[in-house]
Amino acid sequence: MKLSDDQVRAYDERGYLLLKSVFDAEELAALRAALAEVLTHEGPEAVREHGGAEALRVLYGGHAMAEAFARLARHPRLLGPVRQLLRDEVYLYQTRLNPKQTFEGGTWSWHQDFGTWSHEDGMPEPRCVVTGVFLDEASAVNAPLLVVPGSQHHGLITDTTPEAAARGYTLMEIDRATLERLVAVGGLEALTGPAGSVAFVNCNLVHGSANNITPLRRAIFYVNYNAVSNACAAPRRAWHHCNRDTTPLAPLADDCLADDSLGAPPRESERGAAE
Amino acid sequence: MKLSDQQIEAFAKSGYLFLPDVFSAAEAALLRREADAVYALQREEVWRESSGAPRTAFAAHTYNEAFGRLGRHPRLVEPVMQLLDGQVYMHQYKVNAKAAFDGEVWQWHQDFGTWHRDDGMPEPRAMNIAVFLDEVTAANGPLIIIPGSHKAGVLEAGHDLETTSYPLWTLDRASVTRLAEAGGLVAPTGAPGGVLMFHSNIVHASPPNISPWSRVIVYLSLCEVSNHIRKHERAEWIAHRDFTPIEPLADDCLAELIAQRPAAE
Repeated sequence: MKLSDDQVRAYDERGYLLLKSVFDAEELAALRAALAEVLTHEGPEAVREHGGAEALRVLYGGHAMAEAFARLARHPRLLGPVRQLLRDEVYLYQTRLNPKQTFEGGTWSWHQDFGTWSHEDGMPEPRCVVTGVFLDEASAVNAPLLVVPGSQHHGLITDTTPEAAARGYTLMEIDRATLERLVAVGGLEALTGPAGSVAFVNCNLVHGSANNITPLRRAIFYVNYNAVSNACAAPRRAWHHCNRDTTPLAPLADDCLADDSLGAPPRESERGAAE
Repeated sequence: MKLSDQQIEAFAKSGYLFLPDVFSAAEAALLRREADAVYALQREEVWRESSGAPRTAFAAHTYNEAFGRLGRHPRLVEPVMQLLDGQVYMHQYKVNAKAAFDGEVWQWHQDFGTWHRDDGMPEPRAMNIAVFLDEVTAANGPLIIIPGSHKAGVLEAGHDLETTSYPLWTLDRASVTRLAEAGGLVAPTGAPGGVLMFHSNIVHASPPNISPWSRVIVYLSLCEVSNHIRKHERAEWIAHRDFTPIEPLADDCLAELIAQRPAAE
């Protein structure tokens, strides 16, 4: 899949690009089956909601736990656009499942992902694309991802505080005054769309989300790609936060998530392999 | 203002109606400024969140001229008289703040559940009509409604005294899930001046507001006069005891106030 010049320009200006219904019902079924598989995972990769809740808040490294997520990370419909947006070869930096479960899914304070990656992993530049694959419909009711368009142009906001309640991850919270200032310029957009939609998000775009008070789950699987030339020099964190393997990813075939191909070993895309 | 037959049918089916642009930008702006004035008052009717930010101002129609006029505005009172088929009185009046950053959740509930249990209102012949004073978007904690849930009657509820500063009869997750599976969920959004009417048995809630945008909505709870409350356990300014039928004012009653008091800017 290739983005148009207009789409690339929109991403460069606004810091995100939302493509609706990139994955079809059959592909979604495979991804949701993978979600069900990993939802009960125990270990340092799995973070529960605050206050001693049992509900999974975030799971890192899902691509190493379920085949469908592994393939998603090398899917040509993600890799094609991301390589275009970063103008580079990319490697898999991190995957993250945010299930935002029914009734229990907690809030995420306002932050930039690059804030964590710069702070924790020494990532040199914000040349990373956060790719959110909607596993459920995201609408105005179930705590959609809220972004401040254009906020990536302000660069890394360094006047931040680590989230006090965070266990198993680091999040650098942006204060209210800074957020007000950014929103006064850029406004606020809710990323809403049907299941199967994909949001490509600049890692310096300021975002947050409220808690989900509804009986409608709003799961997003994030595949976070870094430019190969932007690899972290001396990462300290565990593999599930900061992948050490910086080998450029080659896309699989476009049907790699289709039912009949999931059982078989993945085929590389002929075009991708040749590039 | 009169509702069309189509609108009446839609209300009967879904239990709510959203009417954009009922009030002009100038009328909404006047009321928005007055809301800030009301929230600045130190009165028992002005309820606060745990952070100290305003949560809601009860009975603002009794101590603020603009909100007083809004409480008798024909664009609000007449459609409700039409739907309730009779004269109405003001059972409750709230200016909900849903303050930027601090606005907390309103749990899943039915208004009539509280009016019936706490105030002895006999029948659900009462309803809300709400006016947006800020733009309501997906970002600032919009009201969420379960269409068709008014047909479920009064559902079992528990008295939640802990979640927020305001005690509320709230529904359990199983009931909310069951109703949402049948009716879905909608969040009416739109510009200041929009009006949302909903049946007193409609199941609704709203999430906290994490955004820097406040989301003020005025709620008039109007009750058909013969259906007045029988129990007077809550404060008079929460569950009103004056059952006098409302006489609507002229349509330009707010415009008149704007002409008298030009915007301070």
